[in-house]
Amino acid sequence: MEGRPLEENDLIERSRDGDAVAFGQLVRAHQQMAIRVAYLVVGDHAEAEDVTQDAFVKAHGALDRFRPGSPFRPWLLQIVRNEALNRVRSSKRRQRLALREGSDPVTSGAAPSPETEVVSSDERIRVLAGLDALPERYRAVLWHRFLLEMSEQETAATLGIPPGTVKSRTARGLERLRRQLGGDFG
Amino acid sequence: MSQDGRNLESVLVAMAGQIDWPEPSPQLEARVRSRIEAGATAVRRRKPGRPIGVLVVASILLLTLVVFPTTRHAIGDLLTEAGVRIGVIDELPTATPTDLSLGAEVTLAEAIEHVSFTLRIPGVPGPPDGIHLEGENAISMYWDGPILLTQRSPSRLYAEKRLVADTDLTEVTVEGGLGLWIQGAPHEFTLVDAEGDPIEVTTRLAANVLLWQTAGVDHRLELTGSLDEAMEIVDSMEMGG
Repeated sequence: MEGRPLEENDLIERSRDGDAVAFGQLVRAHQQMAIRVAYLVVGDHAEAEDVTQDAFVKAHGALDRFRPGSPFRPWLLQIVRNEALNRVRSSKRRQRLALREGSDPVTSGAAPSPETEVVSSDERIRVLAGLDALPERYRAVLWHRFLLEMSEQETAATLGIPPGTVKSRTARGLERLRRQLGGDFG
Repeated sequence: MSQDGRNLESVLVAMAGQIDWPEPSPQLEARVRSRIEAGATAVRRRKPGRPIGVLVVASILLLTLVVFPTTRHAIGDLLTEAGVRIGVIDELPTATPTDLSLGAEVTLAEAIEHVSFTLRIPGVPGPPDGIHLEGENAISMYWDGPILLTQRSPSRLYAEKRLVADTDLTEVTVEGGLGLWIQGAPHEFTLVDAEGDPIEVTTRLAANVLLWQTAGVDHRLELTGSLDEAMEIVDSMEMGG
């Protein structure tokens, strides 16, 4: 959202005044990240869509409690995550994340960029299983930091924990994951 | 193929592009707008009251509170600060399966809004199965187990515990301060006002309890597990907003 804070603040202000079109623009701007945050928790596409829809409606109802000038996205994503956690709690289940079909650069012959790690299908399955086996407090931080590529600050705001806790959980979570993966990764 | 030295952070970032992420449907924005314009809100999923069958006790006869004399004064001070009174009674009532009588269920965001203090959320044992309002300026988090964590800003309300023999009280250090671990025979718990008149009609029959105060907030953690399990939960508490 860098480079357009004034526009976003204006949309929030208009949304507060009952302008549903303005809120629709906020939905469009943030829906992709919102549905990913929901998906990380519920592990199901349709459920993630439902959660995202509910969360946007709740966020609209809570706009009066949003502090003007503060970052909107982490505030919204915290609502999304809470809604997703509520949904998982109700259903008592969480599905695992799925990998895209044909996304194996090793077997598909796709040429990765020099900066991109080549991660084989076996590795991805092992790493995903390792992530899934971590305690939730570590898993959530690693998901947001690496799979969603959020900064420490935004991860902290989205998860509702101090930035220092994000830093320490990132380090401990990676260490635990390395141990689970049997020393194949540095 | 050898993977020694592979950078795990880089592997995780690379994997982000290989997750089967959902795409928002083209109708998402229209549906949200439609619900907003219709004044609809998400349906809050409420759970019925939860019986705490494992906490059911039989009638307990006239007995004497067991508190070491040397700790009585310190415990009294702690309990005054933590808004808890301990009373000795001759007999606890015959208990029947009861209900925790938790208040309205809310989302975490709503709970954070409800209290004037910084609500903390334990990472262990995972996301709560329920978050409930506990009257003015207090929140309870519930996990099936059962485990109940209440955070309350000090007020005129007092939590009163009535103990009988076979209930052990132990002073413990919690988050650098004095805490109290109550373990053993079931004990009665109720809320009373400053004059000692009961406010809650329904009495909770608590399991083991850890009481402490941090940053001016009273904490009460009830669980059937051990002190070690309680301390693991305390150690995992984090800032919620």
